[in-house]
Amino acid sequence: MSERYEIKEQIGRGGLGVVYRAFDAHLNRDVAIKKVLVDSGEPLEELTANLVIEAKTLSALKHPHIVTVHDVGQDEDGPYIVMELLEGETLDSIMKPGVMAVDDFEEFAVQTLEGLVAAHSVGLLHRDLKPANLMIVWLPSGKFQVKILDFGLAKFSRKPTAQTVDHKDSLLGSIFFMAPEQFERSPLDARTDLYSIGAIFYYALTGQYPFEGESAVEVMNAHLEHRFTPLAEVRPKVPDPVCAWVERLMARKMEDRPASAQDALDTWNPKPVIDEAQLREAASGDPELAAELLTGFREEAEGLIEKMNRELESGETDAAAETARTIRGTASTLGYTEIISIASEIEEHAKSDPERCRGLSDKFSSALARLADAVARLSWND
Amino acid sequence: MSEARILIADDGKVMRVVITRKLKEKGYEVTAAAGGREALDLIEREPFDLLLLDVSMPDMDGMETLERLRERFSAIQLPVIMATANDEDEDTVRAFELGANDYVLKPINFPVLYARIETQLKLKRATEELERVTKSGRPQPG
Repeated sequence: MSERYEIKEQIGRGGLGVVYRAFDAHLNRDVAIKKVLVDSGEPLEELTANLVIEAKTLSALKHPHIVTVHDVGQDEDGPYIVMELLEGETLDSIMKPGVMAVDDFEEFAVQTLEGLVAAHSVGLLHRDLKPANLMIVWLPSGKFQVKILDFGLAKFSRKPTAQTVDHKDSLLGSIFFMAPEQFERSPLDARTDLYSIGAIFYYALTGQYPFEGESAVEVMNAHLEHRFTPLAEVRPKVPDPVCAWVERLMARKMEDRPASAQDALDTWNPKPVIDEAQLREAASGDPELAAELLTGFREEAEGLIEKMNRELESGETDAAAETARTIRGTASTLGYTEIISIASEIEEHAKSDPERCRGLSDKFSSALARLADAVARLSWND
Repeated sequence: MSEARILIADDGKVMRVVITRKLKEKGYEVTAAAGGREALDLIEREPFDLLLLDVSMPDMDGMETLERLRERFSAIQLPVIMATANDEDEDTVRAFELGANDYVLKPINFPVLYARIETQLKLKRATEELERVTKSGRPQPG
């Protein structure tokens, strides 16, 4: 390794290894090199095997939200993995000053889940997701990029696998984010990672662990008994659908969680889609008036949707299309793009496919039900 | 900009609030009615320079309101701009036949609405001035 990689400094230490900043003389770039902790008391063969697995699984994944593995090798000190060097901070470092803004959370949650979707799609579980394993990299544009680190415990797993236990019989992974099935030594699957992600999301939004205790046993019992303070109580400003979505991720029973990371992403729709510039224009830049208008619109639209449903039921499809058009007119004035798109679809299909329109009507209702959160988000005075 | 008195008739509260606010910002004096009947009642009681009339309303729709209105007031006495979400030619033609001065499509493009209102108000003032001059026999200064 010394010929090609010049170790510069230690930049991190994990359960299985130490991470260094190094210079790759062949490609003339800085890289991160993870080396096994040879004095950790673990048999070197097992550590080597773990690292090789980590390297293979990671190198199979090329994804913007998963750290990229460039190379793997072994020298007189043991095996090492060469990875892209990330200039960022782990989530636990970032969280020290406070909690994540709800808007940042949306981006953070989506990126993290996209990384998991990629890993799960090739049968990889992480099994050790925790804030220290999520790196936040700041981009020149001012935006951030999430990188999932340390798939050190990941194994190919298309089917549920038995819990991995180390030689001291202690469970691997960070106890605050481990799923109940990991304590119970039950079979794990993708939903195990979703539980950990849910607990991380809770932590990101509140700055506190969902499952707490004075000792490891107490923390474990909190997980097993599913004792946690509802997210909305800890941070009331988080919109209700976001709270429900996060809490569903960390449901006690695996079957109550989303079936997959993709399913979790598909159900991520915490706020109505509103063109804020248009709404601001309609409300003359006054957030209070905007809130009043949205609330008024909800009341009006609910009445109109009932009317439209009656018209669809009785076969008055022209009238139903006209009612949808009325809803669209007001929604357009307020910049409520989600409603506009549903209304347009109903206008188009009222005559040819009333059944489909009745289904769309349910979408109307659920979009309206989320309006309260849009109102809560209006903060143009800030 | 004038201090013209504008009446708007729209059964949607949100639209009434938005339009009222926007037109007031432009310097108009604005009164809002929640339907055709209420608009006709208001017009009986007080003078308005222009009516912005929504076509689709439950109690008395814009077309019927316009038809009744034109029995009493000419297109110069009370210009009417129809607001409709329906851009079918048939409806537009019918509105003009019933005596609408102009129409705007919903969602309302406010700069377009302001321009159309001003056009109608200028036309009304010019026509009234012409009538006054014709009656008095000589033009007034200014």
